[in-house]
Formats: sequence, structure tokens, C-alpha cells
Amino acid sequence: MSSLEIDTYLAQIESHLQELEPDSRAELLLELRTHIEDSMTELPGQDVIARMGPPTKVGRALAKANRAHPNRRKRWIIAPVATFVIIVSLVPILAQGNKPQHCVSSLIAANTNTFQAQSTACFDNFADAISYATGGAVSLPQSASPDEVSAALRQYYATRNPR
Amino acid sequence: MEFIDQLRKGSTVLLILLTLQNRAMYGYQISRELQRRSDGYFDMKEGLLYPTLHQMEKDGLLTSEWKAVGNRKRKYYRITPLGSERLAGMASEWRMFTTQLLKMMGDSL
Repeated sequence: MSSLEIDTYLAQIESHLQELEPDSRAELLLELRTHIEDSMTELPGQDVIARMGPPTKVGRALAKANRAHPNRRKRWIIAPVATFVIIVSLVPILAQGNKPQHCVSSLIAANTNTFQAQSTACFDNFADAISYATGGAVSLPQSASPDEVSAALRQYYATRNPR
Repeated sequence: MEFIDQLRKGSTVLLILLTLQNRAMYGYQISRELQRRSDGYFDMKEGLLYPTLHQMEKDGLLTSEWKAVGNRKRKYYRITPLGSERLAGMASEWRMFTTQLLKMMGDSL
């Protein structure tokens, strides 16, 4: 097995670890590389990479297991943009035929009190925003009431965090 | 997923805790020890051992420490008091489970 094959395998795994801090990522890849080198030393002639498993599967599992501390996880919030505070500034926009929108922001916790927005996507209705924020797991009719939205979201989070 | 794969997957944490209960080991060592002690029966995809180890560390069942051994750096995993407690609980549940399952199989198979 060539070092190029090992580098390629590790690079494929690394592509799934972009959420991790560079130090954690480097440490993790060093651990895998050492494992591969140990295997090559002790089991010459064996397909060491095959023994490790598919890089996509390994990379995804590692990303999940090494996801940052909860307060650094991505948080998705639903923020209706049209509020009384900014309604004045919206009037000209509304007059031009634009509707108030419902936006979904991906946030990263900078510390325990501060979040930084990474990206924002806006939708014409609340149902589409919810669907986007939950990766399509919560799909509601546009006429859904607030109680129906709350119930669907409770069920969604209960499924994601069964404990 | 095959039945045996489900059983193996469900017992991975228990197997790792059993392997580490007496001494610290690095990932490759754990993998080899699992195979040796089970006569090759527990032969998991080695890359998938690490996500489990990292998750167990995050859950407080293991701690880890990097050590330089020769010209290589290795990450050693050690069981924590919480891990030992979890091991005792899991072993007890596993015994109860297999006892009752074997009893039922004995009645009908």
C-alpha cells in the first residue's frame, strides 16, 4: 500500500470533518494514520484500508462522535422578519409587492452568550421555513396553526433526542 | 442489518469496556485484543472503532492521553470510574438477558 493511497483515504475522511477545530481534526487524522501504519507493519500484504472501512462511513461517524461541545453546535432558529419594530422600514418593500418573509439562520455559539450567524435563508411562509430548518423532517400545510407547529416540532426533537 | 451485526453493534461499548478494564490501550491494540480474546469473532471495521472510542470519551466512560512510543505518538484510552460503573451495570444486564433468552430457547428449541 502506497503512502498516496493512505493520504487519499485520510483526505476523504477529512472532507467529512470540516466542522471540527483544526487541532482536533489533525489529532484525529494522526490517530488513524498511526493505526494504519501499525497495521501495515504487523499485517504486511493485507488490505489495511479495507479493514478500516469505507471513508465516507468512517468520516461521518467520526464527525458525529466529535461534534463540538453543545454550545458550539449549529443552532437553527426560526425568525419571522416582519415585526412591529421594523414594520416601518418594510412598508416600502411591501408596497413594491414583496411579502414579509420567514427566515432560517444557522448559528454558531461564539461563547455561552453570543451567537454568530453563518447563513440565512428566507421563505414566503412559515411551513417552508420549518421544513428547511428540519431538513424536510417536519412538513406542515401552510395553514398550520401555532399549536400544530409546536406539536410537530416537539415530536421532531423527541425523535432526534430520544433520551 | 443481519441479526448478528445488530448483536455486535449493540455490544461494542461493552466489549471495549471489557478490553480496557485492566489497562490503558491505544486503538490498534484494542482492536487486536478484541480479536485475540474472541478468537477472531469480534472483528469490527477498525476505522469504526474510533468513533465509538471518541463518543465514549465524550460520555465520560473513557479518558485519553497521547504518549510518544518510539518514533510514534499514540493515543491511549483508559476506563474512568464512570466507565467501570457502566461496565458492571452492562455486564449484569447482559447476564440477565442471556440467562432469560437461553431459558426460553431451552423450552422451545
